[in-house]
Amino acid sequence: MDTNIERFLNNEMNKEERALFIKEMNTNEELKEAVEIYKEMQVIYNDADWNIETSSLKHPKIDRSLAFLRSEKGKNIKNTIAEEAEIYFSQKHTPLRIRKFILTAGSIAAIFIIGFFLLKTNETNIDLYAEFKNDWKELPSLTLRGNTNDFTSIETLFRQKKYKKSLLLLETHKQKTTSSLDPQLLLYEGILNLELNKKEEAVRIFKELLLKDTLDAFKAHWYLALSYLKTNNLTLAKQELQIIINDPKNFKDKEAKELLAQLKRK
Amino acid sequence: MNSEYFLQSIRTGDNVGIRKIYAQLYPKVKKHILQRDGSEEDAKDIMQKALIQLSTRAQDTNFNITSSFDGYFIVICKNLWIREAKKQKLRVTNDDTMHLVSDDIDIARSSFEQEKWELFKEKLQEISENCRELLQLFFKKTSYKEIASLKNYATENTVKQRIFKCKSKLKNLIQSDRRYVDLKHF
Repeated sequence: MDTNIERFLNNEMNKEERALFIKEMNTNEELKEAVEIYKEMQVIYNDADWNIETSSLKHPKIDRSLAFLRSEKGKNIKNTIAEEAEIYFSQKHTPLRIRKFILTAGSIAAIFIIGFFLLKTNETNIDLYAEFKNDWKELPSLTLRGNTNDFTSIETLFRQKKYKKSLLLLETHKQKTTSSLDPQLLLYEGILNLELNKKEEAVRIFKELLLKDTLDAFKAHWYLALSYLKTNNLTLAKQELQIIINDPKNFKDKEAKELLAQLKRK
Repeated sequence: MNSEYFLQSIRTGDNVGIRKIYAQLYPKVKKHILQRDGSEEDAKDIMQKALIQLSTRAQDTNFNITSSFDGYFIVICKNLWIREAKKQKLRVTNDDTMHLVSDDIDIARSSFEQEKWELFKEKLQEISENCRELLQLFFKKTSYKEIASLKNYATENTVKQRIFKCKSKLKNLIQSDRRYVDLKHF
């Protein structure tokens, strides 16, 4: 039995064997339970795997959790967590160790000097990325374009920083349409990939945007620069920034100059 | 002392306690996620989900944390991050288990899965160290031949028999635990 379970879980059975095994599992409780246990055993020994319950699973424990999450108390706790997250992230946070160090430093003058020094040298590429992306405030709205329902939802989820859901919806929209993607939607797709750390895909999309015959195409240089910044590829980031500042009328010329100056100091 | 205070804060939704948890643990969560190719947004998302998951489980008055709160919380976050990666993978392969579900349902399921995972981890500690090592090699797909050589067994067949016994032992320990009966599929 064990060998068959292993072969089943490792996808080593052919189609007929697999069908037969599933049929047997449906009638043999002992086998079904052994498979479940075996699956969990694999997971606890594999740091990169997880056993996700099937959507059909009904269990009293899941029902109880769900009832709590949907209750007034559950909703209040969820709100409090969200509010505290907002408060925490809206404040600037210096790492705890540094804070303690500053607190124990004797003179106010020393605090200023050390603080200035830390701020200037500790600014990582990720910090710069976070600063210069500017919460994507300059992104054009999608609500006036084409398929309003889809576009509005994509943008709303994007603004709520629910990037995974937004991208999923965008990809579903892409599958539904036969024409090539609207350049502004392409911009969203690139940024969503970038935020979700699919950096190579983001770069590919921005390069695709560069080739489009549209006013937005040139903007891709700025987003490519941010993509390279996030991937610590400073040489390419600088190249993109240089392209932008070659003409003061270009999109993000001022920011490109500032960012380039900061990168050159590194 | 912090452990009990933090757990109680999550159980009741005490904002001061939750704020302290953010200050103490978010930097660690962020570090972990960034090191595993996640973004800062992912770290925020995982932190929030972990807090809600823990609050859900803490509603059961029998729920308790035996290790440190920090360590326990980070493990939840690690598992949630692995789970997110698995979800993505299943979505790409269009697995029908991964239909879009509400956040509440997703958290309720992840909480159930975490509870099961903890039980299995705990049971693992009850088998011999040698068994744990053998199973570790076996599940990492090391061949019987290599295991025989690494662990000084005479033949591959002996290794097979040992592994079979270890798996059975672990399986029996799990099945005889009352909590497993509660967690079992119906």
